[in-house]
Amino acid sequence: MALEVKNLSISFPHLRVINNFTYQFNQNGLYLFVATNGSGKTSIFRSILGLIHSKNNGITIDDKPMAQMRRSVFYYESSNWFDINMSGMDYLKLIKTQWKSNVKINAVIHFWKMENYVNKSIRKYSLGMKQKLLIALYLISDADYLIMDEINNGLDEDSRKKLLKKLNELSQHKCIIISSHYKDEVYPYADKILTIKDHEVINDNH
Amino acid sequence: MTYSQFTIKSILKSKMNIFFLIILPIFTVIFLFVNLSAQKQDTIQYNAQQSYSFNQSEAQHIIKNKKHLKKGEVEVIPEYVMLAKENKAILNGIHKNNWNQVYSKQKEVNNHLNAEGNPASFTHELKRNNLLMDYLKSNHIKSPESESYPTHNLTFNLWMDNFIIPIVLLLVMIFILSNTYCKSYSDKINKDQLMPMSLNQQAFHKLTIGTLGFSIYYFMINVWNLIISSIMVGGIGFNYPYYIHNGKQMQYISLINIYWKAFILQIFSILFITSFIYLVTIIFKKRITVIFINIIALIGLSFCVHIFDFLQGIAKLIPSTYFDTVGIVSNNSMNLINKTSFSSGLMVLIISSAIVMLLIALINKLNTKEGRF
Repeated sequence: MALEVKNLSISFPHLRVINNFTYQFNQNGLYLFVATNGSGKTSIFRSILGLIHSKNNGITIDDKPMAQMRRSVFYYESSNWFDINMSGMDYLKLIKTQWKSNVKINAVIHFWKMENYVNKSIRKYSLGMKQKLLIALYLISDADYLIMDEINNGLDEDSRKKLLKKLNELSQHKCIIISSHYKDEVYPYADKILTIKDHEVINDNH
Repeated sequence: MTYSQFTIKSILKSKMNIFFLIILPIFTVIFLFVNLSAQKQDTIQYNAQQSYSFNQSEAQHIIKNKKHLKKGEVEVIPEYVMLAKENKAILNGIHKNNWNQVYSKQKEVNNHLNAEGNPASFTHELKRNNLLMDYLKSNHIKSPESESYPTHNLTFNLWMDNFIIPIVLLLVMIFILSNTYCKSYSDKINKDQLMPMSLNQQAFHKLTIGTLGFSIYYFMINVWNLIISSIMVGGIGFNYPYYIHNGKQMQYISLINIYWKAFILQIFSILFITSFIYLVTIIFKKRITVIFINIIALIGLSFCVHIFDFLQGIAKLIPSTYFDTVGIVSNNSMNLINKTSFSSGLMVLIISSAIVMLLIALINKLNTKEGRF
């Protein structure tokens, strides 16, 4: 089982972003994208998921088109995507149902110590609380491929450590594709490092 | 929690949506008071009293000043006296609760007033009033209320369905559904595309919620109107008359015949409005743009067909024409009399909803292909 990206090129009007990216993400391991701001990390993620237009010769999971494998992947780009009128619990229940997950909601809530606010509307959450909810959604989905864009933003040091430990554990049997501003913290856990430089994605040996 | 449950919850948790939803119930109370106040000067009794006082005082004035008046001016005295007498008879009939007498006398008054040289609109009104008197008499209906400002449960509710609900419901739907459907987008990216269900499945869920939700809302508003007017004023029978055009003929028919047809047409209007708002949303994605385009396309066009001659020719084919459900069913829609019908409304709304849904499915297919999965 693998997520394959073939000849992915992304460009916007008058702006080339990514040129001819081909790669195979295996079913387990932690893949770290490293690049300066604005170099195209989020665009790659969005293209893989079909959220933006791109040129490619196929983005597949197990040779099946991504559109047929939605339940195998989980991506929620940012805590800004939340409907602030809803509660964290509403989102957790939705993702659990939609991804047909067996992960217990209460266990995740307890792990991230969200008991005090998970039933309140997201409008009342701090940035850290929203980010913990975002991480909880990934855990609840229990998807085989977790694509995370700057997921440790807004977390304190202890929470970041806790997250990396969890991701390391999950990467033994899931594929985790992550980009992070705290790359030095993620480095030790990464199995593969992908660097974006001059519109090309370079596979660094690690 | 299912996708539909989540969507419904997100609608009901928005304070802005709740604000829009309570506008109509508040309007019910406001307009009931407005009609209660206005109807006092629009009843048979009020008109008979006014007419009696006027004719009597005119006759007395002429008799007093007989010597100073010309022959022609004096000759009208019997006319004033007769009208005063007939109006007095109407008032007596009301006093004795003898409504057959009231209706007969009112017809006599109308016939006397229907002289040659009267403006066509006045003659039209008199003929219409005669038809009303005939209907009330043959159906043994007592103490009729104002036609222009009804306040009893069924008549007031139909008045709301005719003049207030179509436009306010349309506005409420545009704001709530645009707001709800646009929540799926962030920077023109469809977040819901990441859900493990196809875009067409999502569209089906959202269209069902919109159509079903607003059909229930429309029903509840009608029930609310009936309850409030019943409590504050009282009830009226389903055989109460409602004015319609049957071809070029004026006619009064019982309310029930208007009710069920208007309700069906409203449900199909809601289906079309919901589908159209969804289509605009998946094309333009930004809330402000979506609201603006929906207002222009749905509200603008539904008004324009009554105003511009060139649109009146094709009004029958425009779905928004049929948002004026009671007007269409009674064939009283302003400037569109005999140009539309209940059956043409059903046909146009069903076909146009199907076309819009087809477009939604096509756009969703294109959007899925865009990622070249």
